[in-house]
Order: sequence, then C-alpha cells, then structure tokens
Amino acid sequence: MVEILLCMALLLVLFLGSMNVYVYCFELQETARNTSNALNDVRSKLEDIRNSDFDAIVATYNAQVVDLSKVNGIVIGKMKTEAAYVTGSNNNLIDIRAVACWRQKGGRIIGEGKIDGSGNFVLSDLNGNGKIDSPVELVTAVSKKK
Amino acid sequence: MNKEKGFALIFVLMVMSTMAILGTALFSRSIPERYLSERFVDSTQAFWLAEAGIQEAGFVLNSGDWTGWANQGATDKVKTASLGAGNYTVTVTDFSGANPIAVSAGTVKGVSRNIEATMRKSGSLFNAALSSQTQFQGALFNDVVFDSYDSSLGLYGGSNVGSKGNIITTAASAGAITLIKNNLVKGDVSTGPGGTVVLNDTSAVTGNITDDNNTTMNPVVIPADLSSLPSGGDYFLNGGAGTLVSGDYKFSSFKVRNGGKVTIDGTVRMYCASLPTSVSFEIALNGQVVINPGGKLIVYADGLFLVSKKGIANNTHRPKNLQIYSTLNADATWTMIGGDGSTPFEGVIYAPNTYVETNNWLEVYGSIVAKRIFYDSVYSMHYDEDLKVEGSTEQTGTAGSQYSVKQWKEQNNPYPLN
Repeated sequence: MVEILLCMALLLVLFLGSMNVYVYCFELQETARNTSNALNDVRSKLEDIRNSDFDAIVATYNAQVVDLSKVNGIVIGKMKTEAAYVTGSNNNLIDIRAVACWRQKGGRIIGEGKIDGSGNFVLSDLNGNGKIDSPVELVTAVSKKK
Repeated sequence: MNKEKGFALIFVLMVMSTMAILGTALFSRSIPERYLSERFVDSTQAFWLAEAGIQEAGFVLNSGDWTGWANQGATDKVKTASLGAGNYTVTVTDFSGANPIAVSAGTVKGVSRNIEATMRKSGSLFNAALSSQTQFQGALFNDVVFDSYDSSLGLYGGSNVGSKGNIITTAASAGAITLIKNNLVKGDVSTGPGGTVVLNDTSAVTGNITDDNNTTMNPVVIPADLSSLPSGGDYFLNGGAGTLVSGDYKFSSFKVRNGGKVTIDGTVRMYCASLPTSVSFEIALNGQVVINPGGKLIVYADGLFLVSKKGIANNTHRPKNLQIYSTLNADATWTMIGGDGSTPFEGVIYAPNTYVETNNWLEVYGSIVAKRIFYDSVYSMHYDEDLKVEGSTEQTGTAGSQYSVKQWKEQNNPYPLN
C-alpha cells in the first residue's frame, strides 16, 4: 500500500513537471512561428511604403495602426508604422519604423500591448519611452527619387 | 503476491522514462527553433538597416550634403549611424565619379547583412514639368495649372492625374520662381541654393518648396550616325501632303507652310543642320506635322525652331514620341511658338543653352528643359511621369544629374553555416 501511494505521488510530481515543460515548449514554438509571421507582415508593409509616392509617405503611414494578418495564424495583433523626415534632409529622406505586437493563444502578449476594457487588443507604451517596443521591429530609410 | 512487489515502482520508472524522453525531444526541438527565429529577426533587421545605408548614400550623392561623413582616402566617404536595434556603416567609393559604389553593412546583435549598390546618374533628362537654369519669367505665369500623369497608363484624366508637376530652376535669386496670378502647381517647386519662390494672387504650390536644386544641363550631342549623313538640302512643303517613313534624315532646314501636311510613319530621326541664326524647323501658315500611331519624331535643330497654328499633332499621345533637341548656344529666344489652340503639344523639348517660348497652346503634355523658359498663354501643363523611365527618350544619360541605383546585390550569404 505504501508502495502504491509512493508511486502515485511520484507520478503526480512527474506529471506536473512534464506538463510545465510541454507547455513551455509549445509556447516557444508558437512564439517562433508567430514571430516569423509577424515579421513577414512588417516586411511586406515596408515594401508597400517603399513603393508608394514618396511625398505621401509621412502623411499616410506615420502613426498608422493596422491589424496583423489573420491568415498567418495570429488571431489578435496590431502593427504600427512611423515615418518622419530626417532632420536636415530637406524632406528628401524619411526614417521608417514598423513594429508588430500580438497576443498569443495562451494569453501571453508579445511587445507592448494590452487588452482594453472592451476586450480589444490595443498598443500601449507600457514602459513610457515614447514608442511601441517589440521584438518584431524593422527600421529603414527611404530617399526621394527625383 | 510477493512476486508482484515493486511492480508499481517499475511501472512508474517506465512512465517517467518515457515522459522524460518525450520532454527532452520536444525541448531539443523548441530551443533551436526559437534561436533560429530570433536569428531570422536579427538578420532581417540588419538587412533593412543596410538598405537604410544605401538610401542615405543615394540621398547624399544627390544633395551633396556630406555632413556627418568622414573621408576615407581621397575618393571615398564613410559613415556609421545607429538606427533602431542596431547600426549601419556605409562606404561610398569614388563619390564624385560617374558610378560611385555604396557598400552598406547593417548589424544587429552581431548579425550582419551587407548590400552593395552601384549608382549612376539618372538617364532621364526630363525630371520636371519645367526645368530652367535662369529665373522664370514670373509675369508670364498666369492662370496655369501644373500637374502630371503617366502616359504609359493612358490618356490624361480621371485617375490618371498626379501631383508631379514640378517646376525647377538652378537660379538662386530672390523670386527665382515667381507665380504671379492664380497659378496652381500640383507638385514641388525648387530653386538653386538661396533662391526664393514668390506666390502672388492666389497662386499655390501643393508640394514642397526647396532651394536645393543643383541640376546641370549638358549640351545636346548629335548622334554620330545622324550627323554623318549627307544633307538632303532644304525640305520645303508649301501646301499639299508629304510623308516621312522610318529612317534618318538630314536637312539644311525643314519647313511646312500653307496648309501642307507631313505625316510621320514609323520612327523618324531628323537633323536640321542649319546655321544657328537661320530657321532650322518651321511649321507655319496652317502647315502641320502629324505623327501617326506607332510613329515617333526626333528632331535635332542647330538653328531656330518655329511652330505655329496647327503645330505638331502627336497622335500616339505619348510625349516621348515627339522629341525636340536644340544645339543652339545663344542667349536668344529659340522660339517655340504654340499652335492655334486646337492642337495640344504632346512632346519634350530640350534646349539647354538657349531660350524657349511657348504661347497659344491649348495644353502641354510632356516636359520642357531649357536655359530660359517663357511660359505664356498656356492653359495647363501636364508632366508625363513616364519620361523618368530610363531610355524613354533618345538623349539619355548624358545630362542627368540625379543618382539612382544601377546595380544592387547582397555581398555575402546571409545564413552562413557555422
């Protein structure tokens, strides 16, 4: 009887430990998959910006927030683009930044975002550094082609 | 019963082993996947940083503003800048040459991507609606709308209307571009360094107003195969009809008068090798040149170029199919008088060392580049954005001033096996 109780206790400990490992591993895989998908969305957005009318880039894309593509499996996520003329460039050079944040299936949020009172995912500058941070962020520049 | 003692422990050990093996397998797959994903992000970020360096190189080559760049030898410039999560270092080799090479390395968390771009001066001569080297004659700018379209997409109008009706001059004076009355420029306006733009009486510019235009205009080079032709003397059609079929022609002068009509069938290149003080090309007294669909007329003129009344009807409706080049070097009006209002001018004029005057045209589609432009009594000017495409006009690459990327490649394998 003692042996059976001991075994059951061992099994329980083992089961709980293993479950933690499994959940952690599945989360790692989901993060990796979503990161790649979000990066593709961001990259695609930068290509769109590069191919648009230079003079309309800042007006169109600065502070633009769009949903991440659901096709890629991210159910809830946002992408924000920022565009600003480089100081001293006479409006001939623009710095562009695009960042993606999302919520994973398990509720973990990648990047700076939160669920608001209505249950919607919104971007939020949680660390107060004046910008949205995320591991998925691309920065580049575009110059005017006269 | 005693024989079964310890069985539960053995069973637990077996389950433990199985779960441990499964867990280890899952763990060993997940960790590298995460690592690869992070490396992919870093690599992509590095690539876009490297691209930022190439873009900055293009900008400084065109603006000439090398602030923040260091010399590297006599002919190279280098700059390192932080951007986003990493930095880029861009080197421009032979920065004052015809084909500078920009090499940019973007680095994020030790991951680097290198891009090499060979630059060249843009081959297009026609980068604006109007481009001159002197102050625009502002008093002549009245009630004119400047905008753009792309003739490769079809006729002007509807969704094919853009805001690239740029006006540029290298003049650096006060009021280098003065829009006197009710002019609307849907595009940018740029003067030489220090020059100013004056907008009077409801005139407006929708784009940027800058003073960074340093465009140079090189002289026209007559193609050798055209200049070496024997002269066909004077071509003079005084009424009646004539046709020029595909080929190269060299005349002392080309004149169509008194209702004469010359049809252009195919690609016609014409060199009017007259004295600079003489008339090279003239359409007068209801004479007309008609470019049939599929045709193209390229005219090189040493002397005066005069077009009036019905003018030149470009029935291809592609400005690149009517190209007029002047070799004249004189501070005088190389007159380009417009039509009678019934025929728009759909073409390009390049006269870098003399003056062009327009008047009485209904509309102009294309681009005019000249030392000085008198723009008068024209209702509107529609710059054809298709003219920016390299090779769209015969004279290309000799007078362009803007650098663009000629060749682009990534230097190293972004995902080396190590």
